[in-house]
Amino acid sequence: MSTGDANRPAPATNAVTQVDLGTAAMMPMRLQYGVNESDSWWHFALGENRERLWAKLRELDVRIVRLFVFDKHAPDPVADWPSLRACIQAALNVGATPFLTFAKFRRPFDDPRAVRWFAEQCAEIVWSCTEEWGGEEVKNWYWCIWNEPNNDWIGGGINFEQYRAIYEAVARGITRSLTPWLNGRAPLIGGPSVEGFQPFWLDWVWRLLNEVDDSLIGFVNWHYYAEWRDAGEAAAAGDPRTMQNLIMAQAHQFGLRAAQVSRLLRGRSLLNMCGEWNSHSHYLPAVRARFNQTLFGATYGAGALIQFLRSGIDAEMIWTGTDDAHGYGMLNPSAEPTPLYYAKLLCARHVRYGDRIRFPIQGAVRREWDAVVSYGPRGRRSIFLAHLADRPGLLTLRDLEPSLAASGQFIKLDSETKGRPVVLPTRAGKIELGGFGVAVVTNELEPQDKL
Amino acid sequence: MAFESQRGLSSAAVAPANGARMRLRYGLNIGDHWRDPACVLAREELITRIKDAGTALVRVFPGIAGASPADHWIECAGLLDAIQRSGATPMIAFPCPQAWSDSVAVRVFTMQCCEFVDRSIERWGQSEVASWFWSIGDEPNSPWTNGGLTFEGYRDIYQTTAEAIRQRLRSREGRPQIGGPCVDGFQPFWFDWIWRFVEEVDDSLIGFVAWNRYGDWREPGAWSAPADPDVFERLLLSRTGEYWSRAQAVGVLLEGRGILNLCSELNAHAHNDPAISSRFNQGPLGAAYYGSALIDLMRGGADGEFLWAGACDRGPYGALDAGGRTTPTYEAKKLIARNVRFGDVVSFPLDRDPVPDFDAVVASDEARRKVAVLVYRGSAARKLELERWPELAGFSQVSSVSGDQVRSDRLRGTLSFGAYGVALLHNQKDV
Repeated sequence: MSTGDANRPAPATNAVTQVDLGTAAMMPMRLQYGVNESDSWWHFALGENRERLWAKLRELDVRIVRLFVFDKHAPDPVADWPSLRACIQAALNVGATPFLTFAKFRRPFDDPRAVRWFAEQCAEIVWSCTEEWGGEEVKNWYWCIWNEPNNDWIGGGINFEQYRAIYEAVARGITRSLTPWLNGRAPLIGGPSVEGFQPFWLDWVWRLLNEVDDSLIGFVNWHYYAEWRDAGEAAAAGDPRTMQNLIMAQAHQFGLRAAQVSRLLRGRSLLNMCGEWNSHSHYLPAVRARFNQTLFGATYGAGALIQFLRSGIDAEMIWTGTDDAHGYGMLNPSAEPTPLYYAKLLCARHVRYGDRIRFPIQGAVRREWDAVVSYGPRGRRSIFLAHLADRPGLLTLRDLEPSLAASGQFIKLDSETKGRPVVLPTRAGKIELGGFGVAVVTNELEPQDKL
Repeated sequence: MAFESQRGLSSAAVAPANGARMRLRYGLNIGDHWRDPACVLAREELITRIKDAGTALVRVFPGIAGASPADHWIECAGLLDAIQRSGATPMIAFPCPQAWSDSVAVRVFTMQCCEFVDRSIERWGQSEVASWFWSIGDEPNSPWTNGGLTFEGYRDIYQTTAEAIRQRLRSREGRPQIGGPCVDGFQPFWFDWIWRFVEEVDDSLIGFVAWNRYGDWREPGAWSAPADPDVFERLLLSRTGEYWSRAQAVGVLLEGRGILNLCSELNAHAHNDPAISSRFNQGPLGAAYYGSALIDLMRGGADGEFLWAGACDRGPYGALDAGGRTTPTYEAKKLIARNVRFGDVVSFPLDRDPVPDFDAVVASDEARRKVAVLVYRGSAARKLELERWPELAGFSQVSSVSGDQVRSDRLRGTLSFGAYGVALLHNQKDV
């Protein structure tokens, strides 16, 4: 599967420099959908249901698959190259561009020999990829340096100065490996994959952009989860319902953060990517699963996707695709979907790359609803909606897209449909959801919509 | 009151896009040293300065915690008289009691707040005092200062005290101007407090939501902050976009509720050691930071801002010293507040065609008065060709903050800045 130059999207960053929540005019849809495949990589790459998993991800129009090297239980690139090769091949089989994250090393960060060793390892992996898949293919992949360096638990306790030295050494190594195929073009290398809970998270983005040679940066990657605490933990609200509503209210943060990063990227031709997101990152899988793998997670995810679309960023990568009891993923090892998978499916199917899109929800209503209207080739029109409140809600289609008020097909995903999308007749030009939920109204129902 | 005439025009409605109405009221905090003899003696000078800076709101801490307002009522009444003479509306700030879990202490706190309201009504009259703002809580989410206060504890104190104040104010029109929680913006879950405040307290008891935001609290080189002074300064100035994003985040919660969205404390640096933070707050960098923050608050749709601190602060924050002498930050405030006015139509020309380190707002009114404020956040000399932005063309004069002075020059097509800058583009008749 080629990921050649012709398919490589231009950065959307300069197209939209500011989020005007609720008031954005018609704009092109330039968001690449993506997933992380990390802790459960074996099922994705080598498991007995891998082809079903790939098919499910293809349905999501997954264009980027983020993989890890040197962390997250990823296969050892030296001792177990066949497994890493299988991971990368799996991403290619999905039809996606691999996004390889060289997550960290466990030697002293200030030791020049350790830095050199790491940079050489990374460059060697890139070179091995060119040997395996050819430089023309590999030059279009994404190479991300480090993971959450601003979080001591995840990033290993590195400071920015150390990170910058490692970034530059690794980026130069990657560039060296790809130079025969780049024809002077910059490789798609980036960072810093900042963790979004830390107060000064945006500093890392600013410092990367202002302290590292421009020619070594192709994209900026940032992460965001709304919460890491369970109800009542570490001063969080004790009431589970309050907790859910509070998390849901923070779906807007995706748009605001995307816009903050876009401001820093003004005037530069760099990609703005949210490389890791979901609603909850509690340290216990059972706790986070309650948020991420339920109808609640599906609704929050739909709200996040609409915010990504509104902000005009270039790519999102949900954490995660395949998941073996880690409490995050959209698909279990048997390729059985969670509600979040279906929410993403509805978005990907009805809001497609290259569509024109607009955002009809304004004013106080956007605390309860968010929506995107997409206009595709041959008159295809769809509304993708998230109902962000845990009480019944009603919207009039005429207010969103008049052309769909009389004849649109209605797909609903809520508690009544047991977290699966169901096609229903529209009722008097209205959309009604009983609580948290996701819906689509479209004039182009596909056979696959009739699940 | 100037503020009264503005009421009803807006309350956290739609975020201003280009061409929206400017609805930011300018304000300042009176610092903790308002009882110092020097501040008292210089009061007339301060009134003039506050008035000159187009100040609509002045936040003051009467300091009643643990003491009856009667203890220094005469001095406090003098201060409030002075604030009113300046044409501004007072905001009275009551920090929560440290012994927040002691029901007796909470009851005493509420009684003291009420006594303060009663005394104010006796002196200035019901309708005047009902137009003031009453703020309950000061950074209740900060573990450094809150004595372990939980949100639930704060909510209970707020509801009890706000209800008691409301009964005394008997506001005839709309809801009383009582609010909180003035969250510390450095805390990771600051938004939780705002959301829970709005969702868990009866709407009729909330007139405004307030939040504090400083650019940094760390000494350069400490706590992972960059040690390089140039990087530290540039990074600090890059963070003014937070005023936009926070105003927006809070604004979404408040839309359609008739609740004002106020930034109750802002400045560049929160460190309390003058040797560390004075140069960030009280020099040219502070002026550029504050000017840039004001533009982002306008862009984000905030309803009010309070510089910490406008006056009566001996430390590293004051825009005016005890004798009323000004800093570049004060001059920037004055230049912007007098010319970009409440109700003006505003637009942000650099949103469409940005240049690193610059920001701008253009303001005009029905009388065809038109001005533009440009802020330069860089430390090296730069020039800007104004013809690139049609909205910035056609001005004949430029007034720039230069040290603690403002100098005016004839404007040609190119605008030159040294390190950091705040400039007003205008025509002679418009200022």
